[in-house]
Amino acid sequence: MRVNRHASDTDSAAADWAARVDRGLAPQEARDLDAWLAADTRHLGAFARAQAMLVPVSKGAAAVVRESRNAPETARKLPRRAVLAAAVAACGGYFVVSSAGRQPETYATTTGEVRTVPLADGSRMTLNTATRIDVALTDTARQLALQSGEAYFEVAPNAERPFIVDVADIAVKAVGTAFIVRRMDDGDIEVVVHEGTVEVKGQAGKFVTLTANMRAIVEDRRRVRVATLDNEALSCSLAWRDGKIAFMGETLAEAVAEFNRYNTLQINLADDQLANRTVTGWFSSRDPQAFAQAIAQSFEGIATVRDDRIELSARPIPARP
Amino acid sequence: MGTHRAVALEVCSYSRCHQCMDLSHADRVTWLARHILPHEPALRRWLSRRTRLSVLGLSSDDIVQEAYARLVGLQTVEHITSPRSYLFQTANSVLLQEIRRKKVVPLESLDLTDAMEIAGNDPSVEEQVESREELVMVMRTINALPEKCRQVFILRKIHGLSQREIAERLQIAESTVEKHLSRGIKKLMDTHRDGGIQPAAASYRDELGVPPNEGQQARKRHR
Repeated sequence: MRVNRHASDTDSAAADWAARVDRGLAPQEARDLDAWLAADTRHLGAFARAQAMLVPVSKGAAAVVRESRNAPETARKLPRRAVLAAAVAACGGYFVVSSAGRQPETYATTTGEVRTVPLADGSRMTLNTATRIDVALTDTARQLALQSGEAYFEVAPNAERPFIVDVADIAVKAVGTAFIVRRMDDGDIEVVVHEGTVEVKGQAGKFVTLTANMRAIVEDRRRVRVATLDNEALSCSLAWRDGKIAFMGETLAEAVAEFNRYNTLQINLADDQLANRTVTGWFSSRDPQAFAQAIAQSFEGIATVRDDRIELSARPIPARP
Repeated sequence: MGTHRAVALEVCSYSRCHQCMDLSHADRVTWLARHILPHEPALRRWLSRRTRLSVLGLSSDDIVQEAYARLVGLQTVEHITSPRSYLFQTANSVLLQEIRRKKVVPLESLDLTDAMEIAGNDPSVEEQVESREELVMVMRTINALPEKCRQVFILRKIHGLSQREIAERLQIAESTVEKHLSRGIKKLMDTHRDGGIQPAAASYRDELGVPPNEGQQARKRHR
């Protein structure tokens, strides 16, 4: 091993190469990388180490921190509603049959399923777990009705055919944008805007106009609470599209409720002591067992897998001899 | 895009990773990230305590980089039951090689046998604890990145978007995405380098009220 070499410079070069390889190399760059790696075996080590930094966080990994300092209060204080979205709201969403009188098409996902559906107008919708939605496209309007669950819409721009999602008697209107609409089982409605502008309207008129990174929760179909999300919180809201659940300091009770949306194998939190601990991390939404085990390990708890459920409880403190 | 990717793979299997050709380089990097990286702080702590590397004219970085180079060049990793022990052994053997080559034998450097002892106590417990600590450290580091950089890094590392997709989504140039990623990678390399001794470990202790080592001890007692 030669000396006289700055390890930090090697790391900087390795980081640059890892980022370049990640996007794909041009032939000349490939030759340059080769030459750099050949110059010193430690370069290969630094390069592999740099690449390792980009490897996704493993599924089911749990990190436990009491506070996630960087998440702004506004975003976290709005509770992630602890709901089971599988329950279809009994009130039944009203649906405006399009003027052309065409029958709407219905799309649905089962528990744990996430599905992307391309629409005839060039838009795309991604349905989250246990979701049901009616779609009617006419020449003058794109009318959708979210009966239950949650969906992400990427709307092809077309000012002459507004894109409207009805949820109960709330209408969410967009022109060309990307946003999430979620219907909670208690009737509350959540709208999160990823790009562009969205109008939220009640029967009495417009509630609010949302732009990118804003979230509105409509309570009792009357009150609207609006919050600005930072990009991290926004990423968390979108994580389900990749089969992931992201928590940034939610309580374990909230996290378990969120997990139960996605799985028939339900997690049962059998301990009040655990309920208020907070969870931060990314998890695979369809692996409740891995989540429960990670939590048990992090909180000195026990995860017991039964036929129909997973029980999470605190480990008894051993008596001192 | 497709052809570029092909070129990238070719580069990895061609240059100095001939042994990786049956197991793709990407798989090996994933293995490193999951099973080796979490133990790097412990290895560095051990290196800084046990040896006078400066006598050899080397730094911990040299040993660590050389160890990674060996690990990435392994024909297979199937036989490795405890990656943590394996990492320590590999670093140990890099050190021994350097000592032999230099013909300088500082006394402290002879005391290498306890590498196994340190690594072998209860590897499964240590591996779990260190994986968790590492995740906390990684998330802290990502959170502390400048806003745009953090956004880019999360989309790549957590959500698995390609650089092109990130550029489209954030409406920024692909070259900018690449720069942000490089910066994030470097930052993570730095925290893994200092993580064993500095802020991450300290704040971890603050928040859980138990220093990592005592936590390990407590866990062992409970078994």
